[in-house]
Amino acid sequence: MTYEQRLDRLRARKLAQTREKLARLGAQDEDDYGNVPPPAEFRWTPPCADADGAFHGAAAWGKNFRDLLEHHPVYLDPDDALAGRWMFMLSRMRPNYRLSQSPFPFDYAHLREEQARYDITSGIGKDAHFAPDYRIGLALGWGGLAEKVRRARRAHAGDPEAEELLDAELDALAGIRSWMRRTAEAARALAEAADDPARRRNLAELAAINFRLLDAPPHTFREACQWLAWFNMASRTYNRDGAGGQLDALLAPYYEADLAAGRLDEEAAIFYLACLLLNDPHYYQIGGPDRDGRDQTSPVSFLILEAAHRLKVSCNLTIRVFDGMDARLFRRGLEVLFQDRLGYPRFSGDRALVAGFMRNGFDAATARERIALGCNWMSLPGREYTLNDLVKINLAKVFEVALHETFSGDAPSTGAVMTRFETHLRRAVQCAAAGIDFHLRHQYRNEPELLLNLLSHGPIERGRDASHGGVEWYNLGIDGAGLAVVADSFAAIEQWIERERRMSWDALRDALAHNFAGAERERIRRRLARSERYGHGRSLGDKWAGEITACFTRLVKSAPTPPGRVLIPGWFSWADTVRFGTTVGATPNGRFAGAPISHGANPNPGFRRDGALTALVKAVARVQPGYGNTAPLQLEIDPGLAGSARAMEAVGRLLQAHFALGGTLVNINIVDAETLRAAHRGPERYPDLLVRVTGFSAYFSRLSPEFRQLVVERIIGMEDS
Amino acid sequence: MTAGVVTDIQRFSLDDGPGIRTTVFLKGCGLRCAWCHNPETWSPRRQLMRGPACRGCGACASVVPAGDAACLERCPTGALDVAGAVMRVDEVLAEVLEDRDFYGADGGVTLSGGEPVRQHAFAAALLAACRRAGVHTAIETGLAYPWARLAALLPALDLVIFDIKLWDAARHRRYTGRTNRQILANARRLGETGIPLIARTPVIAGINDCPREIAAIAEFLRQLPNLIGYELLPCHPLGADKYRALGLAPPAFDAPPPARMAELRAAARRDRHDL
Repeated sequence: MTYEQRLDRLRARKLAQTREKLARLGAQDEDDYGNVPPPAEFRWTPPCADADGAFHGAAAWGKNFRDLLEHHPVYLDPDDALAGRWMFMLSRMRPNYRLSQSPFPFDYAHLREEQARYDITSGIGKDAHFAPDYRIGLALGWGGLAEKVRRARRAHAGDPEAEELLDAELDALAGIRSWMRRTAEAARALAEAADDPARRRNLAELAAINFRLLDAPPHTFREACQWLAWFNMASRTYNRDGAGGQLDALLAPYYEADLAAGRLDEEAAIFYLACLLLNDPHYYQIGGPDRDGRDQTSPVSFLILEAAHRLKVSCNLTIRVFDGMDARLFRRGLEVLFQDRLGYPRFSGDRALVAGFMRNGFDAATARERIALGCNWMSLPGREYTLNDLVKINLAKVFEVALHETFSGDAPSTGAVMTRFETHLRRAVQCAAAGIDFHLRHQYRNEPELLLNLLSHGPIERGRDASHGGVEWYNLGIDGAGLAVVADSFAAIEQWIERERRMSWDALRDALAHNFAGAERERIRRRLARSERYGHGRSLGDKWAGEITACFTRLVKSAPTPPGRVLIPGWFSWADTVRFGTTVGATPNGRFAGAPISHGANPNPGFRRDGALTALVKAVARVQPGYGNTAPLQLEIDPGLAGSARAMEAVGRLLQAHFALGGTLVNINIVDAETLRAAHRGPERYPDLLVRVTGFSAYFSRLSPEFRQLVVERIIGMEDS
Repeated sequence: MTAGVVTDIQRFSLDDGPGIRTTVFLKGCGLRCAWCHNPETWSPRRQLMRGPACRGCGACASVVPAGDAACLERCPTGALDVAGAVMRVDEVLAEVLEDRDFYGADGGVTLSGGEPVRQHAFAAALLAACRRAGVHTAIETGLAYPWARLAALLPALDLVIFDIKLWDAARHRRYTGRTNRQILANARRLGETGIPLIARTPVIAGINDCPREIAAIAEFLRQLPNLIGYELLPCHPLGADKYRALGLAPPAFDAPPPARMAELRAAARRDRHDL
């Protein structure tokens, strides 16, 4: 059987599993993780839990994780070059778990009032969202890691915090190796029973590889892929962590050694990579500079792209665009994006990311190592704790507070609103910072990062969790959401009340209070919606978007934090535009109460009649906070454009210009509008339709109807304009 | 400062010349092509358009298209729009320069229409301003006017894109309202200017989608030494909403089938012109 046939079968099984997940779990607005549904009869409860089923602390997590992995069903696919699939997320097996709010056994009642007032997503109790350094694990293997932990355990004897953590790490490692051993044994048994010689050989190889990897570090390219897959599966099972690494650089030494030894050819390497990408859609960067500024692009970079191209399922690959890059990688990335139309790869902008991160006091070499490993985020693998994409402030809510205060004060003006907006935003940022401090004080006793600790520099050596002093740096992200709603609201007020004097403050207040109900208020709403929008270029909305960005950035950078901690601003709303919208009443940009807020740094849909991508590209480049975290640009490319022969060249130029103007990260969606409409009507018939939702690719069918509607409107709206 | 009536400015345009371009649509056209999908560009004046949401309540009876945009709010369903805005050269130039970062060596500005040459003074001033700003300039024109009007624009043009819609003069008159004599004469004179030229034929099913027609046009184009391309554009029946918004009946025709387009391209290629 050819690699192509094997991939076809693997893909078909993956689609069937996606269908089954949809049927069993219903819609979810998240990545399509690589998990498969567990056998229906499988039952497991955590052995270490309080009366209510909750568990916290390193010892409990370690024991529960170990027990779960010791019972984890074995998954083997005779067509797959790699063994195993994951089925559970321990972090979500706690009672009262919600995506929007993790269970946290420490009381932060003192923060709740302000958190609610400004609709702050605090990140308290949230996990992962920083990146491992896989090089540690690839060098040591599971046996070496266990030895390292045991050594540290001896060195920290008598330090209760270290002892509990390191014992838990040993539990975690024991669980992983049990899971691997049972998988290897099953592969051996299946190989003996297999009729087909090719499958028998593959299963026997899987058994041998996995028995060897129980202790030894990987030696071959395929073993390295299998090792990465095990860490990924274990880390997903622990707490959903999905950060990857610089995949081409990680695998290049194995590729070159195997090639030189005649153990591997290109086709086999592509197949192994495709199996790794199929195993789980972790976030990987390819290309970009190494710490000395040299291009890291290698033949493996191209093989990874080719693997994604042949696989054609959800992948999260980012190509780092920089001045000294191999232009062929950029071009090949565009080709794959346009041919597959599945949302990968994404592109990040090295220049602004490096210059921005250096403004926090880091050198260029370190800044170059901070790479794209998450939905919207960059991280220094194994060296920083970030809470990336977890702490958010709904600026539309902050604006609403400021506006209502202005309504009840004297002499309303945009200046007065802005003054109050700044006052409240300062309080919101301080509240978010206080939440981060609270999290960092307690999180190790709630949910330690047992998996990411293993591949970080410091936690094992110091005997301290990554969230509690284990790693070198604490660079904590705070993202703003709702930029366009706020900018357009300021612009509408300035234009109609102050500049043209066609509306009174009272009329605005009345229209907002009544959610634009009635003919006269609807007329007011339409007038407000016709104001000079953010994104149009040289508009009042653009002016306000710049001022709001400067204000937000200034406040985040000046927020008080304990020494050694850095706060970094970004614009990002993740998939939360719908939920954020529910807390905000009608806004002066003509938005109805409860309607979704704007998406990340993007302008509101319909920001220009022509929906010009150049305007969008410039607008988002101009509102970058500029400290190394991103304000991603979401480009929806309509089917007509994507089909045009020159479109790829043009999009290449858009990307280059965006990065030259200061852009940080670009997600591109190329969708067939007809397919999208049909999929919206009957999602179950399109289980394989991928859209890039915010920073992640997701199966359209697994999004909630509300979110599907939003994606459809954004894409079709742009096509029709 | 010279002002003109602009129907629309389309940034990130990929179909109006090389590279990424900003296309400025000027209002007013002397031809009445049966397949036109931009009827709002015919009249040189601003026009009121009533979109599909119009309930015919008559609240807009007193709205003057040239009046204040705010009067459009009288419509209870928001169905009103105005085609055309009076803009000064510096205003259009500022919008054109917004995309300077994207033009590169090949992209730039394209004046289109309507027939942009009908506003020749405005077009000349705008092209000169773009040229001074270092922006590559192109025009899309139907050539149905006296040569002198175009000649005045040529010093500021880097590229001329023109239409030859039909070869037969009588049929040209029947489907566009004018014969093609002046158009062909102007095209020949363009062949003496040395300015790069791109010719285009909009292909309409049942009107000009036969190989003989296209081959004749291609044969004519061979005599233009500065022609760099000949493009066949399949015409789709779009724009019906705009006809209705102007109180007009939309024309009925079909898009040429893809196989026919391939056949026509082959016919043109026999005459050496790359498409």
